[in-house]
Amino acid sequence: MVMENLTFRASQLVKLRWSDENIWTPKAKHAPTKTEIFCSADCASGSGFAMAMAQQHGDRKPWLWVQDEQSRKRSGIPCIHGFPESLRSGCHYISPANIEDVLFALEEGLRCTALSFVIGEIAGDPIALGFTQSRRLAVASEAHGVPLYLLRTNASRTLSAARMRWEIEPAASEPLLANPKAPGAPVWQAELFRSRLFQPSHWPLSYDRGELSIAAPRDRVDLASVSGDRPLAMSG
Amino acid sequence: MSIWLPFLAIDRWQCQADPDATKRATVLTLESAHGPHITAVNEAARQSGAQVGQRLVDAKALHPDIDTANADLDGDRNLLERLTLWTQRWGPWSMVDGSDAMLLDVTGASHLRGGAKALLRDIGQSCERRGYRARPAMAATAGAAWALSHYGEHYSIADNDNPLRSLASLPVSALRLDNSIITLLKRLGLKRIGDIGRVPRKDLARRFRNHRNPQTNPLIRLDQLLGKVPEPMVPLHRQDPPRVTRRLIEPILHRSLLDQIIHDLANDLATELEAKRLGTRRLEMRAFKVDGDVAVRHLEMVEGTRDPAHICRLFASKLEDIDAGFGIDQVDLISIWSVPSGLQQADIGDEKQTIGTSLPQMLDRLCARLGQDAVQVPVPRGSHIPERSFGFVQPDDSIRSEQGELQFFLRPIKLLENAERIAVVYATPEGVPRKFRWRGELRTITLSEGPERIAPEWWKEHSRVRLRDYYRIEDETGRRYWIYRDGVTGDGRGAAPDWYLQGMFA
Repeated sequence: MVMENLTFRASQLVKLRWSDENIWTPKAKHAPTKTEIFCSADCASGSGFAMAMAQQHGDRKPWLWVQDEQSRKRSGIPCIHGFPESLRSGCHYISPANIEDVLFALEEGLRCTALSFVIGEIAGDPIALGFTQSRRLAVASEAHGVPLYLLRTNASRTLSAARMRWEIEPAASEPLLANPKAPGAPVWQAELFRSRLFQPSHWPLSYDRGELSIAAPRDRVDLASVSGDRPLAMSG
Repeated sequence: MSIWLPFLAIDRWQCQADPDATKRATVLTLESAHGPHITAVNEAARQSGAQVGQRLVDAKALHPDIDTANADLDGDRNLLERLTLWTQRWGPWSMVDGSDAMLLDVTGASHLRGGAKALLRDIGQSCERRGYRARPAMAATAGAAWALSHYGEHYSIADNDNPLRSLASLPVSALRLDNSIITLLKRLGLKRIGDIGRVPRKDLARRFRNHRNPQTNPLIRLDQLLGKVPEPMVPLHRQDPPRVTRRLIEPILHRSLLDQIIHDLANDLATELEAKRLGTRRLEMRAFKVDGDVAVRHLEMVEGTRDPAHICRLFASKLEDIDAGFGIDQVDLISIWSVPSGLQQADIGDEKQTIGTSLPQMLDRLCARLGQDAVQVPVPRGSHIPERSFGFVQPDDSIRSEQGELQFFLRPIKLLENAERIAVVYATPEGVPRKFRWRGELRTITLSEGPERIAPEWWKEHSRVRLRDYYRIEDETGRRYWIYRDGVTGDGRGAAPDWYLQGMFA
């Protein structure tokens, strides 16, 4: 899929969204673009969320995972046995030593239309990843139709050209029916804190058997007790 | 024409060894099941009783101070191939024949050297000047030439009208038969080639009716010798790698000019490769400087290509550190490794604009800047130990096996490069701990599942390696980890077991 316009003005941005709905849902479709995901380096929630989002582009085409050295040392290397089944075969992994090479690899990956998506992982706030570079990546992603999921671990919410910016925090997992003492399907508190496509908001998301969905509240009885005189939809 | 180099191995050794060593008795040996045996002897060793085929200990028993050197069969073979190509100065094609002989086609070429006899003498003397003793012989067929060079007189030429006249007196081993067949023929009383011709043909044909292979059937060999049946041959053919070159009138000093030359060369090379239906996998650029120095740059491609723009772009990052010195006056581009690549329809006009790059092009660009093994593909490996259950390979050899892969229970999405040790608080040493401290933070375990016991791979690892009990845990803020206890208390493999954190779940 190739967009006709290679650059976008802010007014055109809304065209990236393919439906009229203003609220993000796990099924919402939009044109390939750059998404930033902020998360902690000491847990893999961000990676899990990125893979859950990326899985919709999957269909067993090759994809690229670029990791900088710091996040490789702190957050570990991707383990293919933990990937969703459809993403296990096409992974290309590269971990350059310095940040300039990471950005070069990301940009080359986005230019390659054979890739279904690119996941980048950059720790902290390197000087090289300024607004210009951020915009270069966003434009490359939109021009060639290759989505980019950029994981920003332990980073601050500085200026960026990403069309969607998420903050992902882990949350208590869904209870496992077979074993109530065991951790179940992962749940994240996902905050879409800045977006030009959808209204910023906050969801508990669960990822179960390859499907991303808005998590049901834990306990209906518990929910009823805290709702008080507010409408039910406001809680959670 | 057949040229036999009877002493190729020892002649080659004498060319390389220092002159003092060549005077001493020396044998070349090769290891065999019963100790080293002799493959070649020099003149001094031959006089002291050493023979080819003898074991080294037997030769040493006769003459204790024999020197030995290792035979180099591959080197001999390479030399023979080079010599075979060199002999093409006398005839249009040549081939390697066995381990120590060459065949050369000189049909209609001998008059150029003053006749057959003079040609043979020229070849023999040329080989001699290079240090290799040679026995050339000429005949109408390859088999007859081989027989004469090995068993005939020096510089012998077969009689083309009646080949048997010059060949009849040669022994049957000149027919290039297996040893067992030669022994059999000798037992039958057929010692010379002429004897075979005198036996009624149908008797021999019946005796050897089950032998279809020419090496075991003397009748086929005899017919080949006389040119009655064809004998297929494979000539040695030198393939020069596709190479384009630019000689410059004025030596260049600047990078921009070099870029232009590379651009021109890449276009030339693309034309040349296209004509041969090839694509290049490995390129070498040689920049010859005025002062005689040569700057060499290599380029490796993931897939055979002949796209000039792609080649130029890959070279752009490689040319930065070339020191032109007083100037570069010649640039060569050589495709060292080429692979077959069919013709492709070029775009007519610009109605089809390609946006972006293909996967091999992207991999080439990344590898050109970040090193040959920068991009890797994770593949499953046959091991249960988590850190060894997958590995990284180069993109082009990530062909998956059809065999089923190991199936695992839930595995983390990220694995730490080295498992990090954690301090734990537990009620009992068996089972999951209550709290753990990792990266300076104390966490409470709220949910856990385990243990999943993974035993060490005793066939690979040291006997002190302990088994691991893995637990999938979740802490109070919902972070999910994979921790393990290294060993169990009382397993006799060390003190109280330590706890490690190895992976992170989504």
